[in-house]
Amino acid sequence: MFQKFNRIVGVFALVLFAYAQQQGWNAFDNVANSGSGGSGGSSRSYHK
Amino acid sequence: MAALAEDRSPLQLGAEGSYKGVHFALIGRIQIQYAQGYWNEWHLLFDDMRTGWLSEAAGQYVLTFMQPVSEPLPAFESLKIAQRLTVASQVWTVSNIDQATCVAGEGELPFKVGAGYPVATVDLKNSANFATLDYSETPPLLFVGEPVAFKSLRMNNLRDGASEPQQQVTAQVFRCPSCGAPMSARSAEILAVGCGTCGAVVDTADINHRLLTTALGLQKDLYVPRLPIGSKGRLEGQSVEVIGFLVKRCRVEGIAYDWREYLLAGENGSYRWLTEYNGHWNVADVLATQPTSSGIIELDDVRYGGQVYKHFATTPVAEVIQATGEFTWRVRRGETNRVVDYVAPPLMLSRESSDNEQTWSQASYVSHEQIEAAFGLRGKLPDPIGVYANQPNPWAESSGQLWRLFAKLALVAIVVQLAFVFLSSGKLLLRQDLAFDVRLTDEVQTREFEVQGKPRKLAVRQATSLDNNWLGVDLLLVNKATGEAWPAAREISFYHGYDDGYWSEGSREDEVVFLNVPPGTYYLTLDPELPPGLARVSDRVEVLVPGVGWSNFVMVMIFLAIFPVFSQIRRTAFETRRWAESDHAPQGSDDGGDD
Repeated sequence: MFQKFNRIVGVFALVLFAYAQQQGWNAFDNVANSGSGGSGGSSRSYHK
Repeated sequence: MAALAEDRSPLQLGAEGSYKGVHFALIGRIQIQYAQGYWNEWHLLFDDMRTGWLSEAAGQYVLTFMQPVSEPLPAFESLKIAQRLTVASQVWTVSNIDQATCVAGEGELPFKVGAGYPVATVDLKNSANFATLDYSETPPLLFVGEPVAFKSLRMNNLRDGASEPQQQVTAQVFRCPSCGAPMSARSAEILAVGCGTCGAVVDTADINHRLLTTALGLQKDLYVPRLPIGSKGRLEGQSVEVIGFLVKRCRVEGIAYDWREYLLAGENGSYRWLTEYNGHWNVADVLATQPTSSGIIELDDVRYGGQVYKHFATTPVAEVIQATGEFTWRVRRGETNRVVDYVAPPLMLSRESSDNEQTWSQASYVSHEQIEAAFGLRGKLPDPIGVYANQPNPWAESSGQLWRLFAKLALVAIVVQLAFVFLSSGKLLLRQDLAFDVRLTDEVQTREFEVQGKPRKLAVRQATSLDNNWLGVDLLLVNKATGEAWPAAREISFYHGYDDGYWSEGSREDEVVFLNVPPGTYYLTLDPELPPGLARVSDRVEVLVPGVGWSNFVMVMIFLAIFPVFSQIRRTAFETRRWAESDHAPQGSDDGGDD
């Protein structure tokens, strides 16, 4: 039971890791548009 | 010649068997009396005309052949228990020294027994063989052989048609000469009986039942056996009965440590031991062969059955303080021996030595629940206290499993990381050198650059020429086509100097990240804020799609390692508690808590 739980947690951690790498997430980045999730969010229109 | 003493031997003259494929017959026998009783030496004649001796004592058999030696054998008086010596090109350890008497004989013998003669013998053992030095002749004789299982000899024509040793009950019932309590001895092999009422120990071979040890006196001083004498149970698939109970004591720095030992009568005349200390139980058997040592001192590891055992503790004096029930030797209260324990959990080897005998026994840890189940005492035995010398480490298995799982998952993580590293290398989109001047009144705009394909993560890096100063920059990432913009306010500062050595604070460089930037044509605007006194500063701006980072890899490896490391810590803590009770306890360890 304990072993099975550990295996599930380990596999979940690996899946999360692969997804984070695919997304380019990095916990130590200075993100300017955090939480934007795309071109919306904190972006605004700019007119020179 | 004296008459042969009656015993429970299944052998008789004319019995036949085979050893290593060669048929033999029993043609003679001598009976030897020693302090603990009798043993038989059966004279064998093999079909290949060799002669040998089958020694029979307490249901154990050793088959030996006389071996001529050219070198002189050591004098009897020069030998000591546990002494190592080389005889007939083999290294031996002295395991027994006896001054016995040959009291009777029958059949064909290579000598005359007459009215009997003294027999001084020294038994030698090593990991495979057994030898006896017989000093009843001059020069002494050497016999070399090995312990043999009775069944392996395929004996027939046994006494009364027995196929193997049988329990021949020649029970005695008598009263304790000290307190009058009823006592009994189940067979001729029982040489001493301890009184459960007064603690006296009686010699059953003596017609008047002389006392080997006087009564203890007050009954409250007696330990009560947790397994009552006469308890029957099934241990490791065999029926056993508790027939004897010993309490032994050792003292360490003035503190007495007592442990209990139970003699079990098993099937086919066999005997086993159960030992108990602080609720920890072991089932033990006396070894016929001797473990080998990897060194010459007592502290060195020993090997037995392919397993390495580490020295755990030496008890210089272990004293019998109570004996109740039946025993196969003339036990005396107050008798002492030296005990050396070696462990390879769940196994333990113990070497017990006295002035004239050394024996090795192997014990296997048994949980108190197993003992309760074996003797029908569910819930009646106390829980164990502390960690015992050979108690299995409950974390050993899970720790090993977790490390193996970690190795597999870590391998997958490495493969995934390397795949990302090779498949998604970074790409530089823009590099431009800018200069910010205090006279600059408007923001600076970079050249345009293209973001292609899917939404990307962009990193904007700045490398400035700051020197003991700071710079504020309002960045704006602008999509040329849509006018959409993402702002980022950055402050870059770098200070350094000498103050009892070089120091620095901050950095000339800076990096900020924009996530999920859609494809398109972009440019950056930079609106600098220069502090008073800073006239000009250069700034190299780079925009790039960064390669895959390593921080997630490091974090996932740390996360995966948490479980095995935690388990390893528990495993190590258990081992620390085990060895704190040994002769090898770390300095300053407190071993008083569990006792």
